[in-house]
Amino acid sequence: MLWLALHFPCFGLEVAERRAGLQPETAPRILVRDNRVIHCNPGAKDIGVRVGSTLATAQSLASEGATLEQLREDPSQISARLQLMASLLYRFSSEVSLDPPDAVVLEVGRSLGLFGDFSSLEQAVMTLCDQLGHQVVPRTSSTPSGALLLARSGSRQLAKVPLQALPVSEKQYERMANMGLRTFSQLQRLPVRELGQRFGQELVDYLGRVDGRLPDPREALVPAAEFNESLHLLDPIRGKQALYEPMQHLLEELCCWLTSCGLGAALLKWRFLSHHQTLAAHMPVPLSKPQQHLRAFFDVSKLHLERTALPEDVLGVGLEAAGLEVWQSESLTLFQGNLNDDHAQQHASEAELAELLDQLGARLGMQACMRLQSLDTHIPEKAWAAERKPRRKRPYTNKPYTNKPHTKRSHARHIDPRQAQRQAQAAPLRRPLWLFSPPRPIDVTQLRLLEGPERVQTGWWSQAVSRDYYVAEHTSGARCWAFREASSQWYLHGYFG
Amino acid sequence: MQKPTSQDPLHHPDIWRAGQIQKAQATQPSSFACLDAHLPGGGWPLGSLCELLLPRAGIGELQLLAPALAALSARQRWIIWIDPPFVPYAPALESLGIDTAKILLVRIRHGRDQGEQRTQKKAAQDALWALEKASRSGTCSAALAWLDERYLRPRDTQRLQVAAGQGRTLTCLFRPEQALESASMAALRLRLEHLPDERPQATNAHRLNVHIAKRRGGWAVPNLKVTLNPPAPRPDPQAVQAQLELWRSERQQTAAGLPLWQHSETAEAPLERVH
Repeated sequence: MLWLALHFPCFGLEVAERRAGLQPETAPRILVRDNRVIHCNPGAKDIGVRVGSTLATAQSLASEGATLEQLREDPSQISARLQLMASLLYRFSSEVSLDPPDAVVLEVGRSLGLFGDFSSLEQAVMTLCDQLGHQVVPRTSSTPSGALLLARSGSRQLAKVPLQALPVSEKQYERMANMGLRTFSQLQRLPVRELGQRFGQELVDYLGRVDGRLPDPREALVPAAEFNESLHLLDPIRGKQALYEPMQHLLEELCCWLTSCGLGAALLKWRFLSHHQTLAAHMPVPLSKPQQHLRAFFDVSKLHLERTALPEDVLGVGLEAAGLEVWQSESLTLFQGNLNDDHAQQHASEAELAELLDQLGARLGMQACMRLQSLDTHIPEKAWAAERKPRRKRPYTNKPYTNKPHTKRSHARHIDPRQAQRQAQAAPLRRPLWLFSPPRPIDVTQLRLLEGPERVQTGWWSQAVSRDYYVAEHTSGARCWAFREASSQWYLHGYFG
Repeated sequence: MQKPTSQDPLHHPDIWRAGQIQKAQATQPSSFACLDAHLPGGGWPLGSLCELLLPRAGIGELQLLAPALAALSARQRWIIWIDPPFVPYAPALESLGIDTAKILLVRIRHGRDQGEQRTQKKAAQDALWALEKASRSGTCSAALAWLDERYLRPRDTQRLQVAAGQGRTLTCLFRPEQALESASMAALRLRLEHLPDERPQATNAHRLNVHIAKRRGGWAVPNLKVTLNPPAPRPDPQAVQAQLELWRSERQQTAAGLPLWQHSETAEAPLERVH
């Protein structure tokens, strides 16, 4: 068992900054709880503010120089964020547990096979935390409590951990200091029974868990079943362009969550809040295929945003993922992105194909995009159909789609094989590439008939159609498909364009 | 170094002829031998804007492209049609070997957007945007478009040309013949013309006269005669003509009979039903 503990030293401040939509800056900034400074950024440290000093002290230090920004701690936000971080880290290990308020511990011993070695896994974890905008101190140990102790203290060896880092009360720490105990190794060397008599069973149990002598069961995290996040902005946003940044933030988190759960989302539900957290606008973004990558979501969302009416001031952005489906990842070619590669030039992935469909639909309206389909009927205008909804069951197959009714199939069994052979040998039916819908009346004197007639007739039970079709040449030179109805009126039904 | 001779200055090693440059670009053979011989690279350019200039729709422009489209539809990419003037007829496309599952039809000018009717200018802009997006994305093997001529500027064709190159898309723009006079950045411009049949009584060949008005690495080539369907003997021309004569005479009778009934507006309907 190898446990990796991640301690986020500035977690409270980072969460408060994120919630306010601020960027980490060098200007002095502090996080306040009960009129005490509990976190301060490097800028604040430079002017002399320390963790634990009172708000009055901090303000008096700041009055000499730059302004001091104060942020209030929100415990519910911090725990929600930690929960999200843990669910994002779920991709590295199946055993992730929280250690509130600002640490996460995961068992990585069994994940090493997947990531190769520990350094590449650690690198991946660090990159993820960096992307999410959190500083992190990673430490490993054979026990979760040991790893957490190392990460919180920041030291590399358990023996050298200072005793302040131990979860003991102020009074107990003072007693240890009075006994001349400074480091963890000194504490470990003391006999257990006497230690228990002086400091209580709790400390002995804790030392046992750090050593691995006592079991240390941890509650493993079950990843969240849904994604519903929101960002609150300090300053109201007026332009749509300015909304791109918070939207991208949310989408990055969504993509992390989707990858860690192995899901794809087919519907994004954006909501924009105005003053007093009232819902100002809804913006559903449907996708023709579940997607997982940022680019697919962001481009389509931007196009939808252009068409959405927003209130003047937007104070919050929310995102909910719906239409979740198990993500079917596609195998990539070995030389993906190599333009000289023939396969990459000739084929696009299904996700990319769906992306184009979504982008066109987002700007032009979903009604504008259609797919063609030919139907098995001999009435010319009914032999094709435009499909507006994307095909979900059999998308992008190479075979042409034919919708054969069952009755037809049962009928086909009774066809005389000789007759079928004769039909197959006959020339294929001449059909025009351009079809007029509806057919246009025409004067027959403008036509020169070339081939025909081909009679198309329907049964008495359906809409009566009785036509003789001819291939003809119009006086202008166009090759046409014309028919004569029983009423001797001529119509143009298409061009052999 | 080889000394240039007065007989053959073009064989000087420092001289490159434009035709030698074209080898690099990917093409899709059009499967019409006389056309392939003159198209740069031996076929339709994949990754260039190509303009087809027509006197009128339906003279055979799709049949000219069809063999190339059939080959391109075997690829896992879209063939996008933007604002075609009529309905592309799926059974006919399939009979030419084009996989209709790859066809994406986008109707902007004719379609309505959730009750809101687009202005013509907005529709033209949208169509241009859609064509550029599709060409650039790299997910379309071919993009065919019929744009509104009133709003198409020369610099738009340059954008389309660049987009086609980025997405390696055969981008075809169908334009009226008059557009030949306006400037265009398209790499290839073809003017199509109907060619009357030489032996109209014997065969029913469907032929086109293709003029290459502009191409890369070469001069314009006029008068390429392309036969779209293989010439087949006409099925019993006498019978068809006889039938036609019959309809014509009927029609004339109807026309001759009309004045008698002209005072009544509904006169034509019962008269037509008799025949």
